[in-house]
Amino acid sequence: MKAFRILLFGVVCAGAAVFAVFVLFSFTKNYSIVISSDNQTQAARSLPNNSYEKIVYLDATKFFGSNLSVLAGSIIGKNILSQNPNGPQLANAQSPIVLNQKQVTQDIAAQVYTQAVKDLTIYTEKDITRVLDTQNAVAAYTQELKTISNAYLEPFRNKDISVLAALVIEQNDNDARKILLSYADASQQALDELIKLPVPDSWVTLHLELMNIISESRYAALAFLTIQNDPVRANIVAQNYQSLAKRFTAFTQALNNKIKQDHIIF
Amino acid sequence: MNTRPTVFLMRIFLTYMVCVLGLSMFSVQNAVAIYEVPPTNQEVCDGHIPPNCYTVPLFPKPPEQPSESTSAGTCSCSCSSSTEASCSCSCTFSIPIPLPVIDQGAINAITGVAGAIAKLTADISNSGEAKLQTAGIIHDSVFSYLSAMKTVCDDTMKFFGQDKCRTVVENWGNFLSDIPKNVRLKTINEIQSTDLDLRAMEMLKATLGLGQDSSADQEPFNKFEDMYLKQGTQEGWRITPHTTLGGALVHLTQQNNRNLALITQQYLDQQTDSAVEAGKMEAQSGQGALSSQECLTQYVNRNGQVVGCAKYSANMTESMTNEAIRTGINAEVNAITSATILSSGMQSQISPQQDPDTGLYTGGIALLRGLANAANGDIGMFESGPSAPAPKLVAKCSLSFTPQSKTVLVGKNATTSISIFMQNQAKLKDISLSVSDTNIISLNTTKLEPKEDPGKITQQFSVTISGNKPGTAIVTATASMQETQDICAADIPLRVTVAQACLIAPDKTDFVFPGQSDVQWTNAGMPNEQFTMKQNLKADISGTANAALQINAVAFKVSNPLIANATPDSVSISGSTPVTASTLVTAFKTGTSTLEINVTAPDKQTVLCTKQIPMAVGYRCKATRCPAYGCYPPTCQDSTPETTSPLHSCYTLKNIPRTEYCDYYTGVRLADQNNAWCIDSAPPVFANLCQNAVKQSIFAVQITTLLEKLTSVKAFLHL
Repeated sequence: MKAFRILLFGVVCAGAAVFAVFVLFSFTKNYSIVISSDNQTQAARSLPNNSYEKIVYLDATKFFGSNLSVLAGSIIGKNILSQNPNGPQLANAQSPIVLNQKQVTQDIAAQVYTQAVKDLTIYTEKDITRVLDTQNAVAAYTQELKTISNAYLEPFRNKDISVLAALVIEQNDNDARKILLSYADASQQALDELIKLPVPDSWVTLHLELMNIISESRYAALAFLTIQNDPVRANIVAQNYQSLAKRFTAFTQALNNKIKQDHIIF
Repeated sequence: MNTRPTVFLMRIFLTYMVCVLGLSMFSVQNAVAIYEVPPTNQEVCDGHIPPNCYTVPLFPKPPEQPSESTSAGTCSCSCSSSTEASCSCSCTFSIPIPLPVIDQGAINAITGVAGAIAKLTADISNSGEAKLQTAGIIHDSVFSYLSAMKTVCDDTMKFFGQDKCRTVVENWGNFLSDIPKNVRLKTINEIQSTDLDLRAMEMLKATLGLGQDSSADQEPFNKFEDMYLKQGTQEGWRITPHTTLGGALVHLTQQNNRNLALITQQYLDQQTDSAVEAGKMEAQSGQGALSSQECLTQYVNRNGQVVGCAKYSANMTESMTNEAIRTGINAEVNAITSATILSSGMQSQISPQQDPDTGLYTGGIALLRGLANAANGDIGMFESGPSAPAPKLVAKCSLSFTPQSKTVLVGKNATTSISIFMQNQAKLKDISLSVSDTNIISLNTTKLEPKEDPGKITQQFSVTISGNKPGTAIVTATASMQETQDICAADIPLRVTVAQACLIAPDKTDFVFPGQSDVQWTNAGMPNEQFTMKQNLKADISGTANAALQINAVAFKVSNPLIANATPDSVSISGSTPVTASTLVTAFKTGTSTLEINVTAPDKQTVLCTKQIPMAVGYRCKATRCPAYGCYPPTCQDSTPETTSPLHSCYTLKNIPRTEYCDYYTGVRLADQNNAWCIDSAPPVFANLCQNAVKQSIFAVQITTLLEKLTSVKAFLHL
């Protein structure tokens, strides 16, 4: 009888252990989500599987929705016609075509600037979801931030859009062009993820600045790629690239100040 | 017994609970350890988790990690004791946006990152490509206004009123159409000076519609074109139009809106096709008069490789006017796009401001600050900015003669052109010339001075050659470069021979004009509808003493290609004599010119004999008379005065019955059936009156002196 009890106890314990493990794995939410989430997230966030047959038209209108050069050109062209109804003043070799520079300047200022702003995606607080500044919210936010950074932007570490652009423009470097194209894709995917993140209140400024810098760097990459098609835009970007880099430098410093302030450890 | 089962069950339950709790604790501990404490964190914090730190779980790294990447986040901790509370950690994290991190102190240095950016900025801002494309885009706008007649008139009416609409279109149409004709002639020389192989050259010529007949230099049409031709011969020649823009515009003015759209599309399609063909040839040849700047929109595969060109700058006409406008308004465009593109008031709206608390730049859009910068004159679109040394490329050059061989007559001078193409910023040091036998030929110089013009990649020189005695000699040109001391050289064989005589006899009985139907006259302007005439001739060099001096070609050329051109129709060369040839003459615009007929030696350059025939082109219309007091569609009156001047007003043959045709502007009667035409000599007031009333513009050609009996002229070229 005693032996039976011991045997029964053992069987019950074994069954209970199996049951307990089953119950544990059924109700341990974090564990199961982390595993599956890891895989799903990684699958969803992996860089696009480039289709090498895909053709990309380096057309500013396709990328930005407009061509600033055409816009500026049309303004000047219209002014040329209006100011020179009789055609060029051929007798005056120094200035055969008269332009109303003041009018042209005003028109370009109004129209090119307006269009350039329209073409650039600028993120504001209206675009994101704010959450209370709790420890968990910050932890979740920074975790996702790093995940997105790793998934989409890490391949571009130590790269420089301007250097890549110079290689493309001056040496027709296909590898550099490919990286710029890849960055255009990856940065957009990063932005699509970043815009969905719940952002703690104290991180909103940084978050928006990050998104706008990514957006503008993507803008820069595409502008350089389409220099043939839209030289005015490439010009504008080139002249302001240093300013953008300066902003990025300031952002990186501010980000790390915030990390220290919030005692975040990686 | 009643309690034994209960106790037994309680024991089982308690045992179960103990097992479950034990296993659960074990499992949870392991799970949390796996999840929340990644190895990197454990290493960084060395097992001590300060109470104020919370860990950030890490997902596995993405599969694609660049080998040169650095860690995104790093922490360093210092602990005063073995307790966690004594540790202080400092972490940093960098998001790998492909932007340079700039050291404020190095911004102004033209080195490193800042230097690279500055160089790129300068390269883009000052690249010929950017300038050319911008000029082209500006031209596109002008062209679109002009070619879309309705739009033009709608828009221009807003500015000037209806009566000036047509004036704008006509004036600009003429301006645009004149340019490519002139440039096309220059293009021939450009192409001939390249290193294209013969087959590619012929293909290119065929596509460009260039014939031997128009290979000589022409006087520029006016100062403006002269200026632009001098400056525009080095960059990116585009595709020839088989249609003149001016002709298209004239035609468009005669159409209703429905046809206008159709014709415009046909025109653009035709030009695009030509552009694609020429672009292919250029790609095949690798270099030449055409450049890669023709492509406006490339398409690339996902490897970044350029697969092709989706959009070319439509045609040569556009290209030429691009150049013209770029040259013509260079100063204005430069000013607009650099110093005055924006008013200074815009800067405050778009310039980021640095937040003193966060250090972040806010309130502006960095990428757009260039507009404001430009407004302040910092860096203009086409102004010179700071630059860094360019990548070192191997400088090299190539040299060629045009033509590749030449016949020189004894006792006569001839010229040959030397073109030197420089790549990768090669700078010429000197150019020397040598002759294999100075008894046969002599040169006017043995050394050429390179031109100081860094903006040009091609330099051209002209050398005068004198024929001393019959024979063959070789001239060698050698150019050396400053940096590498490399040389490029080429030879030209020169054949010196004794000139002989030949005779050109235009056959006036075969001088055929097109049919007399009205259709022939009402659609002038489009290429396949332009008025043409045919001139046959015979050239006879019988009796030529020098058998070696065979006739090789008969070339027809209109001295002013803006008026008309001559297309070879047929040439029959049988031995040395006689030669029969004919040409088709196409008229473009009113004016006078000369049809020149040249019989050339085997080098196709040396003219054996020549004849010039005066010609004139004018307007005419049918059944429309425009007297001084207005326009009405009359039948020309017998009392309409005739004039006999071939170059002014009307000219008719004597003893020819009058018809009902009258001049478009002047209303002066024309005797059409007998080949009489008028040139445009009407006072403007009459022309304006007619323009409002007459919807059909008509070209006509007057070949005045050919209506007289032509006499054979012998031209002897002497020793």
